[in-house]
Amino acid sequence: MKRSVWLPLAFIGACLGCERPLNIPIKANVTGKIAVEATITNENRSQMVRLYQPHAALNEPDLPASGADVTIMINNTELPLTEFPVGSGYYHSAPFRALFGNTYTLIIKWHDKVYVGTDSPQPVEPLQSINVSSAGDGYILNQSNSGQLANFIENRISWANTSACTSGNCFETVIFYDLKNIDVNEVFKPGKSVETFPSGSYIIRRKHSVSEIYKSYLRAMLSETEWRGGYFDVQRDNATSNMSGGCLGFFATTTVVSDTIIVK
Amino acid sequence: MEIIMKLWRRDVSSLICCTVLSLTLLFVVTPALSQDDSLYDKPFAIAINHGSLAMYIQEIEQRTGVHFSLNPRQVNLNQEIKFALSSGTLDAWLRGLGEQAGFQFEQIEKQIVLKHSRKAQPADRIAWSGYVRDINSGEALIGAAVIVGDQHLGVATNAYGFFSLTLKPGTYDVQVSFIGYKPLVRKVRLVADVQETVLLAEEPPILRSVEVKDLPPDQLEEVQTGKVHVRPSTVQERPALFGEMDVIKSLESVPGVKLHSDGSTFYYVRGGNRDQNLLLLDDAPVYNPSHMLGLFSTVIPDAVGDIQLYKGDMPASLGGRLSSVMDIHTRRGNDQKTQIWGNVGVISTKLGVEGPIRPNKSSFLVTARASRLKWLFELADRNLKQFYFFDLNAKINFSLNARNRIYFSLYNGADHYFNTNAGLQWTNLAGSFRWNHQINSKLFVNSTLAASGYDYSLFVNVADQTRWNSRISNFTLKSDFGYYRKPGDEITFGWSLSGFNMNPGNLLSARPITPPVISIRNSTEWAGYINRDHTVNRNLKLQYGIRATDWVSTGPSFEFRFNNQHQVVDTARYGQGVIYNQYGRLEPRVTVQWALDSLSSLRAGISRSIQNVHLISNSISPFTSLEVWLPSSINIRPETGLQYSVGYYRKWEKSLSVSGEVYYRQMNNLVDYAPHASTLLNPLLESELRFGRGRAYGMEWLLRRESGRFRGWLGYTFSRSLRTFESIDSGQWFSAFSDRPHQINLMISWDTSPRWNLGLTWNYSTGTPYTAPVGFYYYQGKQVPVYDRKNNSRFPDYHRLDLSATWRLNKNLESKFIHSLTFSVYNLYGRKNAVFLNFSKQQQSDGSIKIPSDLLNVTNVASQIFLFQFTPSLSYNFKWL
Repeated sequence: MKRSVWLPLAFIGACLGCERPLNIPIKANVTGKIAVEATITNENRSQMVRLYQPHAALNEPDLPASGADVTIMINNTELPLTEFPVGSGYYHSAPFRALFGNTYTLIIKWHDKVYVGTDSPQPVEPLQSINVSSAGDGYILNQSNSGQLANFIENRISWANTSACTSGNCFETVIFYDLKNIDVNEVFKPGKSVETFPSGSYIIRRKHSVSEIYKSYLRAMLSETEWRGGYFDVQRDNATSNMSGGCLGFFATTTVVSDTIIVK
Repeated sequence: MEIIMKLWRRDVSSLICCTVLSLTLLFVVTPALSQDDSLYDKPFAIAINHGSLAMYIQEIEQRTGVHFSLNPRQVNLNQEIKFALSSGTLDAWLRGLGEQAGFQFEQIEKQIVLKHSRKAQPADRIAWSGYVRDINSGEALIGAAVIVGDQHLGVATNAYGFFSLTLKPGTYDVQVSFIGYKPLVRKVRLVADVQETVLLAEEPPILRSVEVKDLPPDQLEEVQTGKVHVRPSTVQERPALFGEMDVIKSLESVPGVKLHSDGSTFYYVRGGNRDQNLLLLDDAPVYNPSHMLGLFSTVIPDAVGDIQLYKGDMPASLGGRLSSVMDIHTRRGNDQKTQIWGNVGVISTKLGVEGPIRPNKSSFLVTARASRLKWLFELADRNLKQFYFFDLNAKINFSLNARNRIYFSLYNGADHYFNTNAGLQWTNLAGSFRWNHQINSKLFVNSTLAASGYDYSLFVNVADQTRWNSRISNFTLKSDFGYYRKPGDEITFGWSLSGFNMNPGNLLSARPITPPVISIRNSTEWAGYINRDHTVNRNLKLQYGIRATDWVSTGPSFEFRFNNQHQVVDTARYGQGVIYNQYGRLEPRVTVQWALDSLSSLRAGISRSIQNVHLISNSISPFTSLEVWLPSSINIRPETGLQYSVGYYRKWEKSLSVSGEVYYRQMNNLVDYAPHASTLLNPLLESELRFGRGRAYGMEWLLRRESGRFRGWLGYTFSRSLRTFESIDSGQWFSAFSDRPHQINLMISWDTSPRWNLGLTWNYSTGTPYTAPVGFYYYQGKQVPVYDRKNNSRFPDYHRLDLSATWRLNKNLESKFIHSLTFSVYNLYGRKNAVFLNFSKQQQSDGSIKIPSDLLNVTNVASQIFLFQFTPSLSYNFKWL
């Protein structure tokens, strides 16, 4: 479908237009803002919450939001998190697992403000067969059917143990989102770079379930990132967080299934 | 017709209306058709302007072939008569002669019997009415000025070229003028009501050496503010992308009109939204006038006879949109001789045929355009099945007699892009039947039955016809009356009934699938209006009127009710024919014109407008995408607009004019969207809508020369357009998409010789507002933008220079076969005007810019997408006269 739909667009692109880098000055205004990235899973381990302050210009590092009081409420039970290393903005819990049927609430107290967000993990369907195809001397990973429920699959690829690893950068992370939505900007999303990896690479796949509220956030976040820059962009806006008080990012609870594959 | 039948069944009022129309047709049209008026209808001229009655009769017999029968004792053939018409029907000639010679006449079969008439009381007022037409093609000249010189009274011809002036008996100097035509200045002696056809001859610009002075400028004759008359020849003379002359894109040169960007047919008028513009093609709306996602528009300029753009202050007869109405009338076809014309360009081929069915009585026009692109893309994709667009315009008109003429118009255009099992297509279909009837010399009526539809499908499986489909269709039945009470006093009034059927996007398939989840909507609109165009004295003219509309939502339908948090609280289901919502609205308007002298005037106006159909799309793309339309109903109130305007107009000799207008517009119940609204296949679509207010103000100046070897205009616009929505930026005002304060438009057409024409356009505008990020944060390895206020920044300024050169290949300018080559360059200096700005992509090693896949290695760049740098093209045009 997409190819035929793309043809008139290809016409526009091929004989008419182009994309070029442009120095666009940004009038930064992120002072006092805080963002959260947290994915609490059903894996019994120390769960982590990352708090940070947005950066003003492209590619700058985030500043950690250090010194916050961070707590996860599991139904009516409080579970405090500790920043480690101190000053890093990474807050760790004692080991626990997020279970389907429970509600998890993240409470952050930082600079005299309180931010609260809630999510509940949803079931996840099993991973299906991986879709890898050859490209030149290597392989590329393709998105394939992922089942009936909205999900995203994080693929961590490593060829550090192969002879093809001649530099320090022998890792990739590719995420495939399947939100079961219909959006024009996704259907006509811009082209992605193609990353190849050599034979013998390991791929660790982690498939996450997605709650309805998390799905809304991911859809909005993708509209501002992976799906932005095509020919059918939608109005720009902040991806709506489940955190209160103007906090950016998302506090997610997911159910995860994973596997590891060696590509040969 | 499906919708007509539905409404016929459902709506009693529709039934009554249709019955009335049917009876009207039966009792009025049928006798008119049955009468053999052929002898009376064909206009002709006589070389003499005074002489004996016998001379006139002999001349008429030679011209028409009719025979006269009379009693010489009753009718004196030797009496001297002084009477002339430039061209008139037999009826007009005999009425005029009879008034002077004292006879009545009667047609008995092919014979005219003259009888002595009792001396009638001299009429206090006499109506001089008729049509102004092109002498070669018979084409109606719309907006031609018919002026009684010494009284400075006049009238402009209506959309069918009709005029009527009621004067005291006597002899008058009259001037009939139309831009691009040789003015007719002559005496008219009025002794009885007379109808005639005034024929004007086109004057090739290159041959013009004499400028008629003191002709009243046509703009001075119109009280309407915010009205722009775009001549089709102006469109044809503009440089065009790929040589595809484009009516809609030519609007970018009109002050107060802003195109979305390169590659788009979306346009914004005086700070409105893009769905606030109504495009009427022979009275039928066209909802998506685009091909190739908007690279080209659907309207073929060669088929167009007249283009009027009303910027906010619409006549009371037109309504339904807040910002503008573009009223396009196609040509009716040459009723004198057959013509074939065409064009071969880079993208498409056009062919047109027109000619008389019966000379002077009926004619036809057929034009078609088809793209020629498939072969190019087949090289890249062997699975390509369909890749084309086409347009078809057809029009037939019949003169039933001197007082009745009917028109059938049809437009069909479609785009098809398919590979083996998927693709998209959209179709526009518009048709109208119109009946002009001159009830008497002062009263003219046009009745119209128009229907149109827009259908958009995204096929995901061609084999089982599974597709996302949205549709809007409507029919309109209306009558528009023009009552020419006396010179300078014209009253127009009328009514209309429109039915709308909207599918806001559902999945359709040949295989069993889930039934539609989004309710189909049906609405009916009644409208009535009256308007008076009144010249109070030499200086003061008034135009005032009112339009009343009643918008009714009918079942079968279901609608959701939402609370203040946009959550569903109730679902209401309505049975077939049930009226469940109604909005009655009034749209008053008044315009005052004060003539400072014979060549300059001031105008001021205020008008209110209503819109009941709303385009639901949160896309910021310039391209046609998956759009849906919704009617005013429980959750969407009608959009309303109130515009104030003040203007100054002045004309000099050599058709040079300057106009300036200042306006202020308020808009209510405007539609915007929740952040990242889901507008496709969303049953709760209306929960994603937000409603707010807008205001726009500005100043537009236009210096224009419409005729002569060197023609064109220079325009400057300063304008602002702002919005406020309670849920956006805490209700603070923000710039609308079309808020581009400064705009300069230069358009020049220069006939350097009888065989060469050069065209130039230069357009400049401030950059488009957009919501720029104020920072970024990382989430799952992506840099997610942080936004502060909506539309807080702007694209770089837009400007572009286009050039064209048309070379007529014939050395013999009188040749019947005329052909020419047009070479044009779009964006001569290759300005990279931004269409999109992005912050989410990464430059690749090959220089391309793409979304990064590897989230461990993200280094984004800001980038811009632009279209159409230096784009040359060549097209070949021909015309066989």
